[in-house]
Amino acid sequence: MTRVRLVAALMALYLQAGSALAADPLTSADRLRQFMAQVQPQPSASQAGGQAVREAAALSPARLQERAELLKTGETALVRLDVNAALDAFERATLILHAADTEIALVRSYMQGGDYRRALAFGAHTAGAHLDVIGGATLYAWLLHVGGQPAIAQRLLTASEARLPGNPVVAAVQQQLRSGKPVAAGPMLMPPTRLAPYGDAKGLPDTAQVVGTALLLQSGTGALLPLSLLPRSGKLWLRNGLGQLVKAKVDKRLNDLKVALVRLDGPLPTPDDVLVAPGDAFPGSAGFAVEYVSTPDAAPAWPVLRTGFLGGGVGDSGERLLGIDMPAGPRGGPVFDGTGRLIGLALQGPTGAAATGDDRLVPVAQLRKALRGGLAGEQLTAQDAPDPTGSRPRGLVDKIYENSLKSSLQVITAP
Amino acid sequence: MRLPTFKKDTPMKKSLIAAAVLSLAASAALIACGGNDSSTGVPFTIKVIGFNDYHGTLESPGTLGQNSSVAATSRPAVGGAEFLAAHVASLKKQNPLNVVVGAGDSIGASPLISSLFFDEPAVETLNRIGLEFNSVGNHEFDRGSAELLRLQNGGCKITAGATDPNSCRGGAVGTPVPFEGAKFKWLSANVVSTATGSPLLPAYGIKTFNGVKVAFVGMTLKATPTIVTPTGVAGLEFKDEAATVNALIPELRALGVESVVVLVHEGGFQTGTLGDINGCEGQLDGSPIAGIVKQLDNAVGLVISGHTHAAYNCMLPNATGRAISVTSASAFGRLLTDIDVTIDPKTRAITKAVATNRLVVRNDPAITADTVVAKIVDAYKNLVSPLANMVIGAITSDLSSSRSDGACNMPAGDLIADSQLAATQPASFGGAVMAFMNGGGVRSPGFTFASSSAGEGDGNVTYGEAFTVQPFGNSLVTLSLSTQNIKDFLEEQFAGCLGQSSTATRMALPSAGFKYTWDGAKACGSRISNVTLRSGNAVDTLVNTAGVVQNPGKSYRVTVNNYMADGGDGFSTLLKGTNRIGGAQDIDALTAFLANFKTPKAAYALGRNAVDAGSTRINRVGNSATCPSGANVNP
Repeated sequence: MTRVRLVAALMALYLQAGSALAADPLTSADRLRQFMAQVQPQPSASQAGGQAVREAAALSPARLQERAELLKTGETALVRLDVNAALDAFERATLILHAADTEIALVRSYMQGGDYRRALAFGAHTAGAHLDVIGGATLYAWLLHVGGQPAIAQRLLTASEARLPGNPVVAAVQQQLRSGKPVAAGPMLMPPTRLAPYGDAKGLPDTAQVVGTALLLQSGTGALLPLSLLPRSGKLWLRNGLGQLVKAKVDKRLNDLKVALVRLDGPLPTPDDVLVAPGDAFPGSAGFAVEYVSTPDAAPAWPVLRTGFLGGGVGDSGERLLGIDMPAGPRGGPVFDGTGRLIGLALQGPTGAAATGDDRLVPVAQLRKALRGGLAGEQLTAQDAPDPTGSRPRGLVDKIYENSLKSSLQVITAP
Repeated sequence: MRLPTFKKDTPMKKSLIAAAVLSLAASAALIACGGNDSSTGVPFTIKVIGFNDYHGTLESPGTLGQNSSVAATSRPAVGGAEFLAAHVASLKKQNPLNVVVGAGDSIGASPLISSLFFDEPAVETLNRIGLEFNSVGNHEFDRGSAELLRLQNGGCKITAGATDPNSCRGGAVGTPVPFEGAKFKWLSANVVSTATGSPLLPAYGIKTFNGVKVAFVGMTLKATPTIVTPTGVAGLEFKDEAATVNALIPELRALGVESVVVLVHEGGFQTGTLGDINGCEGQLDGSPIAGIVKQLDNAVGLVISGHTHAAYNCMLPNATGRAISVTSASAFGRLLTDIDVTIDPKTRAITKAVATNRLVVRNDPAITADTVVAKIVDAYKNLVSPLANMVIGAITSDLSSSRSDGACNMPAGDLIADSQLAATQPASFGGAVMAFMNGGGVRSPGFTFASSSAGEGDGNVTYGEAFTVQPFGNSLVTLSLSTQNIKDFLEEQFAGCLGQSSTATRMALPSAGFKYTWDGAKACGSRISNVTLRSGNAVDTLVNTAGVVQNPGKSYRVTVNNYMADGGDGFSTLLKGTNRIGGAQDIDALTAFLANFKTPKAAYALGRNAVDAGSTRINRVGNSATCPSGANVNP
């Protein structure tokens, strides 16, 4: 059974549990707790907690049932990518009880809608306010890690391990984050603490795989990806960090740049304010590279942002080194400068090995030239001149990541 | 009902009263608002501005509607410290008799921008939002009572015997005290130290309006120990909320107080799921806050609550059955409660409280974000960047920003000049053959070999360290200068020479391969000699040993920063530079250059550049060990 199908089965089980809740609120509450216990180990006895339990005890069975129904409604809406309906249900649930599961669901709803900064801020609160529910900390750590704050994510997990020694969920998340290629699997994909978005899988065969990353452009109608990712079968899909999937076909091969322009069957949403740098970034300047982890299945995921400093030219070849340390991978994702402007596309280096530092950056000037100016479409163009003297705004990493949930795409292929 | 600890003549009571008197002296008794004449007997209104559960939410947490029937997509963006401050200021303008209060959880469970810095940013922004009295909440105890007291009183967080690198960043964010502490008073009437028997913090604060004293009693929920890590509440006892307030009433009356406002970190929920921010569906029936209010003495005229993150605007019965205003303003700075409180100066009591929860919207054209608070938020946003602690290269020894000899060489300056040359050598980036760095632009302490508190390891240089040395954000400019221009540029380093200030000698640092000799005993314009530029094995002589320019009209591509290129530091000769090409920022050039010396590559070692040929770049006639910096060019 593929990971996607396994999760679907578990989800069905979860939602069935929710259906049972409606029939018998007292029993259902117990069943919900039991179900959560299976996917989310309980804290140690020494752990302070019990706020939600204390408050829940003051609620009538009818209110508890109402809350359970709202959680179920919200989760079901999320599964079908209806973020507004999910938010509506979860927010109503927060008006009944101040509890971690609701807050975690809200955080995931914000992520599903592409609102990373809001998710991060609220996730921080959930992690800090509900120490008795480990899901708050693991979700927050995951979001920090994928958004470019791996050191702080590690610190948070270390604190969680100290609080809950031997907790298998913490250990599993820790293992994934330390791998440098985090992939949520098993219990990590189960609500309430699902560490990935839901995603459209319509039309995807069982053999579909995530093979790399693409860059959305041209007002959401086109995308650039490494030539090496194009499938011989021609079966190609692209999916963003919000879980939205679309088929694509090759429009143009830019052999000199080793990238391909593909046309989407339907437009995907673009970030409101992604700008394209007017020129190439200087070596040594800060850069942020975003990409998805390749997986043997086609599960939806959030991309990973990595921070570093851009490399220089490769001799007289006209090529640029990416400069940002990345694990081995096919690349293909967008690269942004310190102010959040798109400065190019990452490509795998000649060796293809990890930590060799030979990954390449295809700069925007080359992309713009190859596409005859049609790099990004009207929503992505901005010719604002760099400020030669002023201090550049920094610290936009969470905003950059938020935009990249839409502008970076999973490349999904099938044989 | 009275708590045993408040029984007459018990030591506990004496100590509590003593603490209260101390608290009074420390805070409330000294706060006055409006005139001091209540003899007219005309009731007047004060404005109480309340909020709760700020949780260090410096940045907007998103949206909120008047109620949940408003579609998510139609809700306005709300919150953010800079707009919270602006809305508070706007409300305060409506009535000079005002007070800003909070109901706890101002800190703790906060976003990275606050939590990374031990919630000092939360306190610093609340200071500027104008908060005056604030109850403690359960999250005030997340890091323990000692840490709470530090946040109240100021001072740095000490980690492993030294100031934590993430504490006391006031200088960097512009507060400008390292950490100023809370200018508002945290109140904890029902939190008692088991060691002393006294409240951990003052039980109440008093502010006087038109001569009438209003007391603000602050408390957290009694159940705090059940929802906070045990170490956070060690040595503390949390007493019943209502009993605590009621026991204080005689004491307050003895001080002439008849108007009592309770700030309590406990709350409830409306029934239903509409969530009207000014509703009170179900009267919070069965909630902890309703239970507390039901026991309160009739002297209490207003209750500002929190904890549940809910919004409500209620009138609930107190112990006598009289309905009093009970409010809560959601959380995260998304709402403010605007309460017009009427006071009868004859009885000195609250006669009416009219509350309205208001969204802290960010799109009201009449409300402009507070620029001071916005700057602090932006500054912390920069500090939280993941870039700061990244290793960008390595060095073999300290490279000081101090002059290392009487000739005025400077190790850190050499490295920077080298990086600027490297960044601009390619033809497309300027085609430079030499670079000069102004000494004043190299900031202390230079590059240190020893590991910083970030723990990067000895020899490694982090981006944050490099930024400390090159903080100005200057960009590089490559321009063409003639040999004569270069000679003049070197001559005008000396005080009073060729337009240089008469009181300043400013020795620039050249890049590798460029050497010259100076003689401070000679006259202006004739101090420079033996200027050479080495490239590989070839040596180009610009000025001979006699000080004669060899080929005055020959053109060289020279890189300096834009400050120097514009004539800064008295280098007016550089204004003659032609064919200017702007380039990278100085910090980018430095980062790119140091990447060549990042492990596993060999670390940067001073003087090992082959084109330096093993000798210093700046040489001086004579053996003085003092580099000139002032009017005396030959000390």
